[in-house]
Amino acid sequence: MRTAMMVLAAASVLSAQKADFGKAYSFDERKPKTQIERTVDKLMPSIVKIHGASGLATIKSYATGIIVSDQGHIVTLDQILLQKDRTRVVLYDGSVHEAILYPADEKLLVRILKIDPEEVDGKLQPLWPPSEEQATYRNGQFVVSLGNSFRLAEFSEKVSATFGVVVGKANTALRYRMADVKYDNDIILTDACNNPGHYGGGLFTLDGRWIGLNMRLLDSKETNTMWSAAIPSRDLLPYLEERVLGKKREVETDKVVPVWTGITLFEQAGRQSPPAYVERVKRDSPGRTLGLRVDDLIVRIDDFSIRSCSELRSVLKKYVPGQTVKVMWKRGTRVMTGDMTLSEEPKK
Amino acid sequence: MNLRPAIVLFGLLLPLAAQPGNVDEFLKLEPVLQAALKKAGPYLVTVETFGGTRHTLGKDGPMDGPAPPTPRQKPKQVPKLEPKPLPDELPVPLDPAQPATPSEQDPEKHEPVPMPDGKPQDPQDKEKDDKKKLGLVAGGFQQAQGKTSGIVLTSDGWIMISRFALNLDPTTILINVPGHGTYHAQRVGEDTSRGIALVKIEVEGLPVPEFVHPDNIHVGQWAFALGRTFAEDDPTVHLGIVSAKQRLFGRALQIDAYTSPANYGGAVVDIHGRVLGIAVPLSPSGRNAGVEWYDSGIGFATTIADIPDLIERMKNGEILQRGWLGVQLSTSHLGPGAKITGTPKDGAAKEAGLRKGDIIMKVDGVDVLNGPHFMMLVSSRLGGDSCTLVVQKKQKDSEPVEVGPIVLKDAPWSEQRKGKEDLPASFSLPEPEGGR
Amino acid sequence: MMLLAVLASCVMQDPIDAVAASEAHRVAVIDRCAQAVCSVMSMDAPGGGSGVIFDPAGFVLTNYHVVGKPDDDYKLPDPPQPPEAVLEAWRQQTEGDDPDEAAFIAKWQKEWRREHQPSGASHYKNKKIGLPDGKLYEGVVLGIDPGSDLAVIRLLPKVAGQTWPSCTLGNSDALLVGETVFAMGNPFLLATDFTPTVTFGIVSGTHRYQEGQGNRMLVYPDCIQVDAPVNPGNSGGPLFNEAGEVIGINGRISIGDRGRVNVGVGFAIAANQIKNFLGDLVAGRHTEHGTLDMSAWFMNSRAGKTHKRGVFVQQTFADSIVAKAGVALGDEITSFNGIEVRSANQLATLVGVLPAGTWVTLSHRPQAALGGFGDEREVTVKLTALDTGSSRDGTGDDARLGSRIDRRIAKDQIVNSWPESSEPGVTVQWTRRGPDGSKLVAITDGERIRLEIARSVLVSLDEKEGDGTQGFAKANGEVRDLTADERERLRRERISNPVLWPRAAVAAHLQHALLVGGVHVHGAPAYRFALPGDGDCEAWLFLDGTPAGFAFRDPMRRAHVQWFVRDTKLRVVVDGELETGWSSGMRATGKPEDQWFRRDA
Repeated sequence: MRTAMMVLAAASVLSAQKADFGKAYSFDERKPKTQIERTVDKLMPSIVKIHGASGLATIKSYATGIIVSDQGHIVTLDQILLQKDRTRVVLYDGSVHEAILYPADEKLLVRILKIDPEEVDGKLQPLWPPSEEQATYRNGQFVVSLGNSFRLAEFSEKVSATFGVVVGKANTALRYRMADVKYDNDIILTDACNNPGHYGGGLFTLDGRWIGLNMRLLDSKETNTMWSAAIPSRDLLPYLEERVLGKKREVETDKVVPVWTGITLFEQAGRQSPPAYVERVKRDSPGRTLGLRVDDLIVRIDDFSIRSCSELRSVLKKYVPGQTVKVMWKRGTRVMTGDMTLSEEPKK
Repeated sequence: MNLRPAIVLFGLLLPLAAQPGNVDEFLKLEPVLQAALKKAGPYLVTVETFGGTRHTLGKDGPMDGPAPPTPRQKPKQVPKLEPKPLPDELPVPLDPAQPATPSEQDPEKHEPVPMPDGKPQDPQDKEKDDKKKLGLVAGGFQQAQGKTSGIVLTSDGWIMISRFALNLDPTTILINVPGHGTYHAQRVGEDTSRGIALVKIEVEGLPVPEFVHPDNIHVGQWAFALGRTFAEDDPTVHLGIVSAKQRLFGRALQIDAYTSPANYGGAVVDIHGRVLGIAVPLSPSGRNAGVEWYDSGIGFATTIADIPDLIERMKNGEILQRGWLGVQLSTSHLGPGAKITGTPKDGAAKEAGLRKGDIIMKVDGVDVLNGPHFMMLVSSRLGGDSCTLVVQKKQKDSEPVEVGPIVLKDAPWSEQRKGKEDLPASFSLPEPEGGR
Repeated sequence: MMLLAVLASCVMQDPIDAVAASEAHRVAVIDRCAQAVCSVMSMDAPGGGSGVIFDPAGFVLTNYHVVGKPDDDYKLPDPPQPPEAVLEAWRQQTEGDDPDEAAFIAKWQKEWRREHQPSGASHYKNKKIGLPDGKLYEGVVLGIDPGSDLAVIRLLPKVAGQTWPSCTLGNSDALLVGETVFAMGNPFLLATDFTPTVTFGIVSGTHRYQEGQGNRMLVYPDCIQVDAPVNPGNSGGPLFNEAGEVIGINGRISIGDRGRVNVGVGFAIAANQIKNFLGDLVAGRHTEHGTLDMSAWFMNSRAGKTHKRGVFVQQTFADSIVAKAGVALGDEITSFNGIEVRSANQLATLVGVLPAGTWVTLSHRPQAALGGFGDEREVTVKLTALDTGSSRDGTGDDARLGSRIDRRIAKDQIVNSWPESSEPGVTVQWTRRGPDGSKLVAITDGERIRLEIARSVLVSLDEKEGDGTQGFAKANGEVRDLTADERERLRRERISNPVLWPRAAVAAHLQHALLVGGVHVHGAPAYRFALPGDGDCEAWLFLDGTPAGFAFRDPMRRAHVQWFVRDTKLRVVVDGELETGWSSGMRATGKPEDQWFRRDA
């Protein structure tokens, strides 16, 4: 009997939550039946449309955001021109709200906005990044991506939903057009399409867990193609906890000590990006310890393909002295591998 | 016998059993997909290339098929119609944040385009400035030298890769077999009409996949395109279904899973983890790489299980090209048979005596329904293959004659990207008010 | 224990078996649907799009922009000579006399033209349609709807009586975001064997409004947004739900920076919108869309200020149809055709799917002089035509792209598709109450009809004889024969009012009818059938064959009267103007009462 009462109470709470926003959408619809439909239906009230100042040719003025607190905090990508007094948030019920801007996170390029919860009819339905076990995802996992692609949804119309899988992870050689992505952790690649306007929306598993924040379309140097991708939601936590919960964040000291390998590469004149052939290896260097010789071709460092001298240089920038890397190189027709411990440049 | 626990169990299980057969299919598909990935991983290899130059191959050349439009058929200039002098009265959805000028179209709102009906781009068509980006997909796709994928064919080291990986004529090809190591690969043979190539590595005991014959593949079944471009433990996955069979004149499946350099050369597998085909860029005109269709929902997977003899030829180092007969066909002759409107010189057809006005009635004993059917019968063959035709000559009273066997020539172009002037199978936007 | 084991094994089914079963089911549905999907091409120009056969008689739905504009320089072919057999029969008939063979041939050719050739000003060359069986067919373009990018083509059979596999139109309003759908068509004309390309995706958005091109052509007022890959060449092809019903026609995509390839945003015209125009398209008309001649916008001010949140009239003209009905600038629009209006987009969507000439109801709250709003009031107006700038083929019923043969075939197909009814004879008594109390009662037992108009009674008995003498009138206390006008009035009511037809007799009533177009009746689309004879008689029936209304020239009122009927809802339009105050009631009984039809009763 008690279980029945609890179930009833839970059901009424759930339905009350749904009813809080009032009848948002304009057309009468049937009830969701499949898992995708149910997930989309459950998550829609947490997705908002954001309008900034008039955009430029390459930067749109509209984006999507996710409500992260019942105080009205909303997280989005800091990729549109947001201006004080010109930024507006449209909720699921079609109501339009002024938003105040919080400072962005420079590395993630995300920003928090805040609306006044008093002006909202009913209760907000915030989402929060899931726990570590809950946030795991695998290649091939089904995902639903929600966002206002091409600004097709206005007022109380629902944002667009696309469906696909987690394609894989990537964290190298990704760019926003001409600028490198500063963020250096794994990014979730997906084939659930991302388009202008979709940015700042969410990537969700089939059972409704929030696993990613949609980024702008990325270029990959690996394939020279454009990608739909999302920042893992858990990577937003330090920023979210700082802005929403008021937790203090440790400031990272960006003291970069360059690594030294002792390898000099053969820079072919006239070639734009020559392959990484070894010209000279200094005595008493990590390269010498590894066993590299003249005319060896370095092809891989850890999981990074090395196809040019400049690529070797940029990959090495990701490491700090003391780290050991797996190196693969080609000598004649043989492929050889070994470990190399990177060090600091010896003081002259 | 204590029945109580049995009854309780029964009561718990009954509602489960009473549920209909498809309890959300996607929830069930997730673990099945993971199992297929696990099964496919071992035979999916990484292909890395080094060196080489970007040079374009092949000359442009005539192809079998519908005759190109004659210069006379320029788009007609339809007189511009006078719109009635009414101000805008269509309700324009407004963003209240913007100034309230009802007639102002929101410049931010993205203008969708009607899908064109697939007509070739007339170079005379003038393009409006703001529609520049609505033009043809840029024909100059810059191929990056990133990793691609390959499939183990035999346990002693025959690997099938995409021809795409060899576009740059690399000096070094490395194959990484998960769990086995990285090997130097020898480039052996290829079939440019199918976008595939064979390389050999010196190794034993490789895991070999199960291949599915096209006869057992069905339109609508799941097709997962796997790749190894982004190096990690699990292959990358793109979700899709089999969109069509026998595309590219019988060579490949068409799938709507996104294919791109991220999975070119990779296996397209079914729910059981068996290989349906290998994902490669292809295009029907054969005139360009087909890469410009990446991630568009139009992808191709060359079937493998139905070409064992071609694989043998490739193992022997042969470079197979698409066959070319050399006929231009009428587009308004609806059949039966295929009507010739032209035979380019140095084509096999002209040398065999075929002429404009002839109607090809049979190919190797098979009745020809119409022009497109004829294309399927002939363009599915390779250079060096032969065919025997039954032709109804132009003279009305003549009996159909047998012509052949005619040996097809190698197509005078290849599946390679030609260069900046390269265009995909050409389609243009119709002007809303006129022009064809 | 055995039972438990069996049960347990049922429950613990290997998930791959369940997936394989779902997959096999989907493969079967796709295989069935694919047979009705075709490639639509021009006869001698390269390029093309897709289409879907929605009727076994070979009617194909596609986009207007796939079909293009009529061929200006296309001349209709000359009529053929009469077949030798026909000439021979005529010669034998007129043997002995001195017949003028040339005159007979001319007369025969004139009749052939009337039957076979459309009477519009400009026409289309036949299109080339490729079907998945590998064959190419010629197709005649019937109706076009440039306003919302639809067109209907009819396949010409290669053998007499040929039928084709077809798919049915489903209910697009039942779609939900997240529902799985399939698009089929011929993107990039890859189907050299005309087997369609099938792509899979979900519904990304519903009831999207997409502005048109140029002069308001190709508007997509109520389209379905999908992420199933749709590319150039898919235009005109169908969008299916899991059950294999056509719920949309693909026609448009949004593109990104890569050029014209799919980026996960495709748009399909909703099936429910297509149904609104089906009658006109299949009848070979060039249709127009309706407009209220006003624009509305959505205000979102907080409650307490002058404007509250709602949809308000933004712009209108002094002589627009809504203004004439009393709707003014600034009024709040509350509902349209009974549907609560919650955004300007929604109003645009609701209006945009209706044909020109549709009668609609609009509820509004007038703005009061001293601020605030008055009480809600309802107005009924007729939508005017939205000018798309595409030239119309003549005016009125002569604006035809379809021939009489096409319209007859369409009529036969439609009537054959309605379920047959074998219910026993029913007597229908239909009462219509007009303004100022006037009453019109029609009673019929399927053969005899009795009309009570005001205080007179007109009765027509079995008209099988055709001379109509077996009837009578009762007026001013006397019984007399019917006048010519009265006889005509009874005839017109009998032949055109489907409310009075027994279900089993519908096919017989429409035997000599022609499909002439469509009409929207109280929110649902219906077909219009023209009946032979004088009086401009038309019978209207909904897509499922239930009565929708009728029209004829009333000899006693000397006016063209249209009756819009849907269950108990009734709307009467006289010479194009709404006549308010009508209501109706219906009764069906088993046996007729003899006294109704007795002269001496």
